[in-house]
Amino acid sequence: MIRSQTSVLLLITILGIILFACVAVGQEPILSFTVLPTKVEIAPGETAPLVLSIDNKSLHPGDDIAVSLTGADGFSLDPAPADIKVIKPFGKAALNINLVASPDVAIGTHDLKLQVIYTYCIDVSCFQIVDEVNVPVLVTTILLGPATMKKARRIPPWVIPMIGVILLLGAILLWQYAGMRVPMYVALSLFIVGGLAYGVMLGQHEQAQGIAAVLCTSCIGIEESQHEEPVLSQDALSVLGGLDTDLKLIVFYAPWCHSCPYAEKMVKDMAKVNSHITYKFVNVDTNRDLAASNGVIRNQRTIVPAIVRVDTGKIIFGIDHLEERLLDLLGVGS
Amino acid sequence: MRRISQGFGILLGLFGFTGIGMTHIIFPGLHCYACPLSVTICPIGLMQNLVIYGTVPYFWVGTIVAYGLVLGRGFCGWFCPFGTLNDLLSFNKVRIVRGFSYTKYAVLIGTIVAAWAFADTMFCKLCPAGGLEASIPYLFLGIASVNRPFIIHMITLGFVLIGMVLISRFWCRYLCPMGALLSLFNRVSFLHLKLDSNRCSRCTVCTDACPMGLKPYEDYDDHNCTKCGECTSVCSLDALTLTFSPQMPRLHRDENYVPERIKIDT
Repeated sequence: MIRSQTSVLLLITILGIILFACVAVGQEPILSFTVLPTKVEIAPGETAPLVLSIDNKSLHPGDDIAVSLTGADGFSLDPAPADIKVIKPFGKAALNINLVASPDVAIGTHDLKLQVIYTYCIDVSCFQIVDEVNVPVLVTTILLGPATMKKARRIPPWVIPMIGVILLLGAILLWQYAGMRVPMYVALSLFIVGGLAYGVMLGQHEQAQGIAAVLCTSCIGIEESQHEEPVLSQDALSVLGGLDTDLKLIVFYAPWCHSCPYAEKMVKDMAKVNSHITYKFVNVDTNRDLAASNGVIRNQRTIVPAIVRVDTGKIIFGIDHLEERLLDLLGVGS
Repeated sequence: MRRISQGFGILLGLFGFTGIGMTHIIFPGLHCYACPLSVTICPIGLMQNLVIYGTVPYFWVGTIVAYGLVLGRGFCGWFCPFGTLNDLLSFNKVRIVRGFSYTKYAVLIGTIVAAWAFADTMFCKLCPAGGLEASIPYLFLGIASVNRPFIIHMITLGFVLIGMVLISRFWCRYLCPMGALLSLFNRVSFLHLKLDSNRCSRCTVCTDACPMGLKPYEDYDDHNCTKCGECTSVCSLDALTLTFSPQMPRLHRDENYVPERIKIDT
């Protein structure tokens, strides 16, 4: 008994040490892009097929993704690539592109850029992102051939789960009716090794870490989401009118935050009422140091929306009773 | 020994006090990832998010199967902080109502279906562990306030706490979706209860000691067993032992063996 309990404790200790040897990593951008082949070779007057892989590593879908070519005299995309309507959160897409070089294009290396314009929306607020992807192109009359073009091969998403289900069913049947335990332990070991390895390869460990690092106050039941724009009350309008000292607010937001547009709009509206109030919006994903120094990121967990009064350093989180708390922050509350 | 292990579980659950931030690690128990000192990911919270995003959860499956294969529900008995709270409030060890013990599977399936249907983490809004580990701390930190979601959390937490006091391990027996997940591995996990039929006198002293209200001498590989080892401690004949080895399928076990009654001098 004592021996078995000691081994359990030892096992848990080892497991704990292994688990906590890992450290956190930062957030990923909204969409990330990869162009294949990485080195494009093309002859004057010829066409080179490219594949633009798009990876959505955010919590929100990317919409209306349009790709065009910029800064590229003598090059064009023919036919013009069709827009991608939507890429789901943590989803992927691949766009086939035909790069065409005109007959009179100069021999040598050209640094082309693919411009990608897309939008993403959080409730009623939408943001447009303009991103660029570098595509180094070598124009040459001696082509090395299509060997440099790696075809993006994708396994249909149902294949691996189907294999897993068949494997498990087989192991259960052999366990239950033939009394064989080896197939069960082999199947479960494959689940562990395969699941963890393939999951890490797909970046699912980072996806999991990203989800946990977000303190979504409405998701875990700290407050309710607001889906309508805030409207300042008559009382707020009158007390704000009496404010006669300059005050600066910083609104910390994140593109994935459900409640942030509500907080941003209320601060904007208050600043419209009284010009003594000035404000700045800071994206915590790109200004982590500023956010951390203002107490918005604690233990690498991002808490948004957060509004900081610059002169006092006072901070309020969330959008629950926001008008009342904002007036208190400004020193004009009842 | 088990208390030390459970203390270790709580310590790892609150590892954020060291300054280490969020990791990629899925916690082997029910522990809210929104807890201010948590550095791990709640498996049930993550599962809901993966359902919402439509992700095929390779990493999640690999991790859960690893936990299940090693200890199965042993994590409930030896590690889970919410299980520890259940243990601390286990004043009334009553027999399990087997029919109700399947409710936890309904909770697990309901959690998945609700996440898919509402595209939201509905279980988290009711989770008593979330109420205890996130809502209350954030109230004291000034981030949460007493509003409708907070009150709902407190009602579910209150209900579960009363349940724990009246019925030992109430949450683990009947409602825990994480327990439901790990219980799927109870018959194959390396950590398991082993019965030596030749030694067992069916004196039922183990039954009185079991916080899950089982008959360990019959239910030693039951899906409800948290492998806490309470039964092994009280068995004076050493008929029950906790062992760490691959299990045998039931086909190879002697199910019909009925041991002789042995008179024990008390």
